[in-house]
Amino acid sequence: MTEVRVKKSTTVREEAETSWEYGEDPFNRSLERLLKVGVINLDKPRGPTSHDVVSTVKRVLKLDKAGHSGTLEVTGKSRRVRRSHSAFAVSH
Amino acid sequence: MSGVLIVLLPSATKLVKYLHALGKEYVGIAELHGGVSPDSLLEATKQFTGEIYQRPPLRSSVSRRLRTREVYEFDVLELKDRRFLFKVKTESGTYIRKLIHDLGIYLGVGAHMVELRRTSDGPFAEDSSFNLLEVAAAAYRHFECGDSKLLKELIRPMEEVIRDFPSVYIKDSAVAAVCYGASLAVGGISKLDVPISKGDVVAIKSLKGELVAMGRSLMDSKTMLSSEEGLAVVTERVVMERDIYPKQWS
Repeated sequence: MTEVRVKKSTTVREEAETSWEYGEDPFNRSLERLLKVGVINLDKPRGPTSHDVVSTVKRVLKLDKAGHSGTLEVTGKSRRVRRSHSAFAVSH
Repeated sequence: MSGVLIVLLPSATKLVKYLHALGKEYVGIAELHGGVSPDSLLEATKQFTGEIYQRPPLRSSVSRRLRTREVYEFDVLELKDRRFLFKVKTESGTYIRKLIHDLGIYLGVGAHMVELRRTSDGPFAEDSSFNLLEVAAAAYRHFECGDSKLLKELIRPMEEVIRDFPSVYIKDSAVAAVCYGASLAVGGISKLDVPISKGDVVAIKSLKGELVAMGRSLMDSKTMLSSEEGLAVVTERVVMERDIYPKQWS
């Protein structure tokens, strides 16, 4: 179950140092790196599909690859049918 | 549907499975096909809280076998005529449209969903989301004006996706091996979150906090702290690019 998690505390097993000759601070990445290993919490509008919205984001950020977290709409025939019968957008 | 949609940039797409596993929150409007008293509606939502049985809808991407899903909270915020406003917190993979449909059958009048908005997905909530216009404006500022401040604020590190999973922090000398798919030996661990149970999904991080890989623990945190040898975590999904950290095996 992922909903309720026990509050975690970090415990040292063996002290070790990290070298700043390589790697990076994940909370202070350059934009170039963020565009590779970041995520965007997007407020998807009603209407376009998740796929359309992700394509738009990819286009404005000049990226060729991006994925999204979950389908935010019904796909295929049912969507077309329901659209024609309802003034409201539909989804799962 | 509108609301929170997490866009994973190239390397972060490797985390889609872990984001999928996290709980979701929605608000929506449903319409009943007949008159129902507020009390019966509240009683019905209680019946659909906790573990529920659900058959995925006809048009779905998964097998249509009856399966169980957990509804953590199901609240009616407002009821007016035949329409009601609801808020629901569920386990990943719960079909909300189906939940409303089944609730309508239980009430004996039928119901359908009119409108739905996802208010949170795992650790991401709508109050920290950005709309398309904001993303486009930030991208414009960056590409056309050379000002990347907005875009930097808008893109979150992928580590936030797996914020709620326990972490093990590994020594620099162990990073490259994990990036090449090796399992993590207990000797490579410097720090860890407690408690971790055997079989838990864990995030393997560098001492700087960068996500290296996702894995599954082969021992509990007590054993990790007291053992000198043995495999602690089996690597399931490598996220960090190879060769960022130097190879230290021969």
